[in-house]
Amino acid sequence: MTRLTSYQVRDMPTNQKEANHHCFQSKKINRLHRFNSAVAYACSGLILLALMILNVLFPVHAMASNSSRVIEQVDEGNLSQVTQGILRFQQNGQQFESLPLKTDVQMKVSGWTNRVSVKQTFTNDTTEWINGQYIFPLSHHGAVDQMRLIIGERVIEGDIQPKKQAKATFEKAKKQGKRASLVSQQRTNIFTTDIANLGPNETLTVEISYQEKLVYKDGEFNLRFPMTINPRYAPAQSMLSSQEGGQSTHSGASYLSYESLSPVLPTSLLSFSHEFFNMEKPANSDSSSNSLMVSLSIELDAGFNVASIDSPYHQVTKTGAADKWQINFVNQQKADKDFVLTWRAENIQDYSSKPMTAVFTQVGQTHLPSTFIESNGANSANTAEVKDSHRRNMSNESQYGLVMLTPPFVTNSMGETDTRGAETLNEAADARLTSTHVPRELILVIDTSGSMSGGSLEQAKQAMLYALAGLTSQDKFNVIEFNSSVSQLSSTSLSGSSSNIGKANQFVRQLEANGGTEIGKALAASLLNQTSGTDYASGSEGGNTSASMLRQVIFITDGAVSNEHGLFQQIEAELGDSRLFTVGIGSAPNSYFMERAAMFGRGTYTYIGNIAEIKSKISQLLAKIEKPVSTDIKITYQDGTLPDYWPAQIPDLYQDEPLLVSFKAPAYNQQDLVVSGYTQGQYWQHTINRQTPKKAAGLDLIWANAQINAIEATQTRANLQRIKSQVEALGMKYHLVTSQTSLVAVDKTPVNPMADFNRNMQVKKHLPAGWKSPKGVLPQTATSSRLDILIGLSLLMISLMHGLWLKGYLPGQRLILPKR
Amino acid sequence: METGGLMTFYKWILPSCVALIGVSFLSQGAYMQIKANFAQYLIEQAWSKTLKDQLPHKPWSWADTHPVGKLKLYADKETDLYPIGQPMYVLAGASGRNLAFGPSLILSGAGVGEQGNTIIAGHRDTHFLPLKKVKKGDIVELETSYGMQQNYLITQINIVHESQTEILDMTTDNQLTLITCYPFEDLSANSEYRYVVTAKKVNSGHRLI
Repeated sequence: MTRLTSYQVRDMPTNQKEANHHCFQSKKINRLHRFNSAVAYACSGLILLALMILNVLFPVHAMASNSSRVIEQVDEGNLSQVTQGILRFQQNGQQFESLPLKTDVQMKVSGWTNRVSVKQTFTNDTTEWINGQYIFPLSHHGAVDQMRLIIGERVIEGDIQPKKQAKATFEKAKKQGKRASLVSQQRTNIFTTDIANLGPNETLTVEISYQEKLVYKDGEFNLRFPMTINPRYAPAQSMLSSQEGGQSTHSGASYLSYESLSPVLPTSLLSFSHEFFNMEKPANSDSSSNSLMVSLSIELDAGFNVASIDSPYHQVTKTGAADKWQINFVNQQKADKDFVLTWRAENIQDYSSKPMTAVFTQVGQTHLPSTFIESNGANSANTAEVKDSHRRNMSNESQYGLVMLTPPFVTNSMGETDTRGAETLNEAADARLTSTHVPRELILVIDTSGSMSGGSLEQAKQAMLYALAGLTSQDKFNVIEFNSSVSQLSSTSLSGSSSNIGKANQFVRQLEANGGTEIGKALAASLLNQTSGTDYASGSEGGNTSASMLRQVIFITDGAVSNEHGLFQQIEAELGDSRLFTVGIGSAPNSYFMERAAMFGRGTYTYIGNIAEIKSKISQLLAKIEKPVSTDIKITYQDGTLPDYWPAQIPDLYQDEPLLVSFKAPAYNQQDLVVSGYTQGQYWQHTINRQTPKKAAGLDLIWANAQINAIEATQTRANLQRIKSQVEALGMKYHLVTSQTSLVAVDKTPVNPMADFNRNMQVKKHLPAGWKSPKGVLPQTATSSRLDILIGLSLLMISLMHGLWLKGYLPGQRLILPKR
Repeated sequence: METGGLMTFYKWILPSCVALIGVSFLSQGAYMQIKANFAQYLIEQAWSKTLKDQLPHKPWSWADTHPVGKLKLYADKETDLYPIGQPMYVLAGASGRNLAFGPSLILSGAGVGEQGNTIIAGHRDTHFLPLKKVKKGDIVELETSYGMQQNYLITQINIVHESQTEILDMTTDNQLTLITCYPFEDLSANSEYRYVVTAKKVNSGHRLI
């Protein structure tokens, strides 16, 4: 150490005056010197780093003010000043406000049916009279048969009316200043509640009740309550198909556009708009005041000893024992993801070996057309009495029922019955490996539309990768992605060699969400290509192998489309020998579309709600679709005549997926039912004893709903009017909200003299949880290139300065202490 | 003095490490800029092929995109039009990767030269930096694969929040929407706001360039 720095010069006189006289002490100084220089270096470095970080964190935002042509459209102040329940949004100079709403859901599960009552409590926090609207999802299995308008202590029972008439009644009441509510259907699973003349600081409750049948699948019962709606994509009717043609892009020429006869959805549902969706900032998300909150309680009467109750996406409390349970939400929950509850029997063999015989019946209708007293299941003893007396009078009433169809057990080569759904993932996977592997052609279709961005796409990718991993070299496969256009991994199906799978993995990993949801094009690409695909295969490999190959299309999407009906028709027309399996992804997929699509595609529907479930669900699906299927299922009476059952076309039965069919039998016909079908080409039949049925309530509603769904699916432009009036008649008779009938309730006395000046408000929805929509939709158009360059230059500068300092070349050093 | 020699060696470690990190940052940043500029030359070649046969051509063999148009900005100076910046080649699909190479067409909108809302996004620090200079009344020229030059007159410049996706909505008239991040001076890779330039198609006879 021959040189001293300015630090030492300053330090020495104060600390170590006689130090430089001794060699021993000069070592000390050396140490001190090193320490000092390290501190000095660290300090200067830290200061610079801090400056840089500050620069990045607080970029100059003041640029907007100096240019007058710039219009600030988002007023941040407004957004953060949310005080009470009302959310204000300014958009194009217009103010949109959200009406606060509390939803209270009560469910009564008994056996296979579920009675749900949804109480929507609207609160008016403003000082004006308002009209409100709330578009909300309900289970597509649900038959909405009751609506009550509750104002304080008074309850006004809703009346079923043809849709137009109900609307007119509602509008008239609105004009007259009467409180009124209207519940109408937009889609099988989307409903609207309108309320009129809600006074300042008033509260009003609309109670909607519906009946639904439960889903039994893989050994467990499944109950789903949707909370929010994915924004839907409406494809342009004329398929101009802008040809962004890469070689892999499916040409639009072979794609036929199937006309959708479903009514147009409100535009606010078709895109992310502030009118409809509650785009809250993350900072506000924890404040419950502006959120749509839901409380939920379930009375579960399973009818068997329940082994496990599981709510995978929400926190619940469970109390009870054996077959009776009470399930509640821990707190009120934000309505941004679907609620799912599953439960299974304690002894699986005990329950699932028997259900072949399960039949549930009910005599007479729930809603009697001649009386005004409505019965609400087993709710009030009073109405039940009235109903009973009524029933005695009309002893020749029809019987409504549900019959469960279970595929007959197929014993495999190992001589044991097939794996039951209760089994764990590992066992299922083992079963998949050990069971005789039928070569198949697996077409994986993935939705990469804008609505999938965020968590959904990640889930879908994981599911794809998992499905790809399960392929063997005997299999053939292809990967198709679609958004506004369709692109495929290869034009024909590839063999499942490891290099091909590697390619596919790469293809899947690079997928990004962007653009629209042209499911039609993707369906065409996945279903229509089969002839050319197999021809090609048979040409190269020689016949037989590809002919016997199962062609399975796994369609992973959130189903956020609005042209459902057209797509169903397309699936029906183009299916051929393929089977379509839909996999619903995300927090709020359109399960109505997916379940029906799977039905038309003669496959099954799987719902995956979070990443953790992907492995088990996909492996279950792959294992299930490998197993033989029961086809051509028919239900007859013993004498061969057909009962009145819906769906009229019974879909194929997959293992572990029993199906519930609704039937109606006239009072005089007490014959047993005979179910028959084919499994692996073998005919089977069994008789279902109708003499000892289990009792259930609300089956007529389920029957009518099944019939409405079935006949609406067959509508074409030619029979549209006929089907409409048929649906209307059914809706009127069974007191159901359908596409043609609505429930309306009107208070008798006018309360608002100035009804024409009401403000119109809408309840905003939450975006489904896990969505990155605000970021995902407008592309991110900046890189950190300039920041990187700046950091790089700064660091270089620091190191240069330090180097110079070590060398003693810095100006100050040279002046103070010249070289010795 | 061998300890001293060791010391001198040690004390150089720190600055050289810092220098190394500095160089890596610098090269990373420079790479993005160079990539953005150099890619345009390759895309230009692909575009000239496309102009000849109207078929998509990949600018490089491993690319998964192709140029769909050529974009030029012109400032309206009283009597004459002056070009702003270099001409840019527009790629199909506004994915993060494509945006690194050039302005990209958002596929949910209309195609280049088609009826409707044609939406093109670009990075604020590379290709779309010149957007800072445009003002109302300036002209955007868009060349289609048929070699047709369409002129758009800038009618609106807005700053929107990234959640305001209504700017992506279809329009009935021919509109060109250019999107980039805002503010231009910001250095980070993320921005909440977008600078949206809206231009309407003018008759090609109106102002020939």
